Amino acid sequence: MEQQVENRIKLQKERGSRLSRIGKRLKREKELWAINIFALGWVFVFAYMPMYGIIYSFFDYFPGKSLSESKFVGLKYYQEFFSLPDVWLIIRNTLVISTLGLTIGFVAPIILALLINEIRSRSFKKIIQTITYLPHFVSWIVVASLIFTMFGSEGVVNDVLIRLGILDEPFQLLGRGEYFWALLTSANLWKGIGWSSIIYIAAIAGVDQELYQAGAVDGLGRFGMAWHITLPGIRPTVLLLFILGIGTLLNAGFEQQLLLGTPTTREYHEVIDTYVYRYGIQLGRYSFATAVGLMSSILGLALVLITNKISKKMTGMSIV
Amino acid sequence: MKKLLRLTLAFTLATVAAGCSSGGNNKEAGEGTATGSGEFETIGVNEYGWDVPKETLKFSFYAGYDDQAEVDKIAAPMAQFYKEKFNVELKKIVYSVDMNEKLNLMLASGDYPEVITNMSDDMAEKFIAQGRAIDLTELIDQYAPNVTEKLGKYLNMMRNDDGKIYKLPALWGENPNVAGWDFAIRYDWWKELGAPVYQTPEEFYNTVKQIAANHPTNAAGNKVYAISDNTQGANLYNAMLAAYGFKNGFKVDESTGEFKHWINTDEGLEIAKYINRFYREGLLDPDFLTNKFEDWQTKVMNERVIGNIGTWWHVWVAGQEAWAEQEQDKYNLEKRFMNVSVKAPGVEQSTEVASNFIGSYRIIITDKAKNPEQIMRWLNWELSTLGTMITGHGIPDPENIWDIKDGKWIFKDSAMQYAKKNENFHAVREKFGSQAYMMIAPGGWIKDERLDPRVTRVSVYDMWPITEDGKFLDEGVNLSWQNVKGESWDSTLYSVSYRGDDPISITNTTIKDTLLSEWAKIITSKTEESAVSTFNSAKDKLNKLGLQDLEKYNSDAYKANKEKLGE
Repeated sequence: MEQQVENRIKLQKERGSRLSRIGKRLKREKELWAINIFALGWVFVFAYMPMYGIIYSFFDYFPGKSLSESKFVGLKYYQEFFSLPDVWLIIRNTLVISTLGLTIGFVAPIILALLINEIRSRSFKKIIQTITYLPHFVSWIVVASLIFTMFGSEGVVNDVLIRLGILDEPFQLLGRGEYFWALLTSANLWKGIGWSSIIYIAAIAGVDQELYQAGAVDGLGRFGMAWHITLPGIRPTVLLLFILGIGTLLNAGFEQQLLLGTPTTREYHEVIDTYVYRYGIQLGRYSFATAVGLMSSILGLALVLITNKISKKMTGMSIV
Repeated sequence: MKKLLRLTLAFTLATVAAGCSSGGNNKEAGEGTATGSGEFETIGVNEYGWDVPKETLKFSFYAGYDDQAEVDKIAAPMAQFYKEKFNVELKKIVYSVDMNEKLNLMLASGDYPEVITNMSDDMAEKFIAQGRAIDLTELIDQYAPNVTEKLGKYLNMMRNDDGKIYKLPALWGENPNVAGWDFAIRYDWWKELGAPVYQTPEEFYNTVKQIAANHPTNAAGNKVYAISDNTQGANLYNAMLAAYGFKNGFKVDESTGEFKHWINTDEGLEIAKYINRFYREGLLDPDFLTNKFEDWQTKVMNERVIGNIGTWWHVWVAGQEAWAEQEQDKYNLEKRFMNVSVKAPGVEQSTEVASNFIGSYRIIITDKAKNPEQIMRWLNWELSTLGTMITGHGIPDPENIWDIKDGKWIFKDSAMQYAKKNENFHAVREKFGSQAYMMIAPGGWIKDERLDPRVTRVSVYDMWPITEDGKFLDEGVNLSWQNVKGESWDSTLYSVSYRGDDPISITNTTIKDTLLSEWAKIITSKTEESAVSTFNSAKDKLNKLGLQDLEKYNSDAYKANKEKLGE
């Protein structure tokens, strides 16, 4: 009994000292917290407060009814998602499109950043950077119409290939489902490669210049320096972005699919988000939409934590 | 007691007003009368038949997708006219977002205006189910005799199981389209071929194929296609289904009320094989699945499309109307599309012109309405023929397309020429506010003794003046429609509503999406055998998705509609 009382007192002391440590730290870092107060407020208001809405996924909510009037249905809408006739097709498309983005779409900006880093002329470097950033600012509507103009059966690409005698008749790229993933990944890549490379270019700029001088003394060439100095130097940034990217594995995009998809590509372009939009939001089935959204978020968070754990074990680096 | 007093007063006023109206003037209730205005103080009936309230009638209504700034600009002259002459201030609300999405959000947030119009029947039902739409039954009886008179037996279609009315049709009426689904062809090229008569899909195929052989490329050397599309292939099967006598996509046994979806029929397979042949032979534009209307119109205008399996107005707008505007005085009247009614062999009656009297749109008065009685009185005025003319064609004025002269509604001479429709009907919108505040007015034909004697019938959208011997006044219309039979069928009984909370709405959407995707695969098959096998697997797939439930749902809706109409 005495032992238990002692333990409790010890625990209370520990808790008290932890709280005072936090208090001291807050006091010490008060300027930093003051700077971040608005950002934290924003996150609280726009990211945490709306979370109460997830409760709707457990009720048979219908627009116009209050929650108290709605019947509690537990996991009905979660189960409904998995009983959809096309559910595995939708999940497959989502995972394939995301994985392509997370592999090709992830590696390409790193390569671009390394290449840009190798350009010696400052003005040429700036031109290349500006050109590669520009597509990021083009809306998907415009990108889609550019793609249709370029790759339609009477588009520029087909026209050139036919004139060069490479093709006898127009190649149907847009209407064929089997090419959709490649088309979408390429479009995502074109649009995002420059923008995504910014952070790596910044990370490369932070690599200690003395390492390069030492590398040169050791006889490293430009490729060797990129491989042995630059890449290891930006590894924490790469890892951080990869772990965060894993969290979006179930968000394979939305506008792209709606704009570039045609009836013949439906079996390849329908993803969780497009399905939820048409069968949830547009039909006013908010409970279903919330259930699927929550499920995606929980799975995304789980993936982030698992990847983080693996990274910690293998490289010693982690984000939390 | 109050109700009795109100009824007595209303009856007295109506009787007095009826006595005052001149026999030949065909005046209606709410036009030259003060029906139902007993509870409100009014200052007298104005020259347009509206009993002007002493206190300004103000209310707002949501009307769907549009740009608010543009809508306000167009509505400005009409707003001033209504304020000055009617003592009415209306606010039309629009949003640049999908109407269904917005209505769902409105329902969820409880933030919606007093009146909502142009909504789908499904959405109206949602508002009704949540108690957000008010019961109109008594209001109609007391304040809106025009609703009862104009909608006639079709008003019963608006009643729920208890006989109450919570919604009314918007843009309703007898369909003004003389043509509908059709098999159009370039008139000049058809004439060049010796004007061969075609009355079946097969004859149409042979005709456009021959023209394609004669015109393989256009002046710029681009390939010319027999047919194209801008609806991802949907118009192709819909027009074909009309030629096979299907109703809303179903084969209907009217004696038993049994519905069979077209994909479950032999005719469906024939249709698939027919369209697939166009694709296999390179007669169908390979971009038909990705064409937006504008892409397709460019092809039509550049003379790269010979025929059309679809709706008449597509080729009308993209073809002759665009050419006439582009080429002005040089325009040759024969450079146009001719619309042709086509019927598959052995089919008793094709169904190219569907006429749904109650249309697809609905109007409700919501529980936010401060003065539902006055709103109903306004709707009653809008439903009067003069009210519809003003709401639809704008303020009567010598510069507008119509004016009131000696009690007659006279149209401008140029309004008789269909080719100048754009400048007649659209260019004047901004100046005279036509259609700016349309809520319940019919989109169908209206007839009235006061109408210009040169005009046999008119809708607020279009005008099809006809001579005494039944010919259209416009020569171009005669050329285009000489082979249109224009036999419409009443599709009102086939109206069906899919409520969002009913699982059948998911089945319906899934089937619609899957059908479009499967149809694209069927018709783009490389061989006929492959098209047949894809058709059969699509049939199995759709049946597994619940096609038979959909057939039953439509059949039940049809039977219920029949009961409501007492047929």
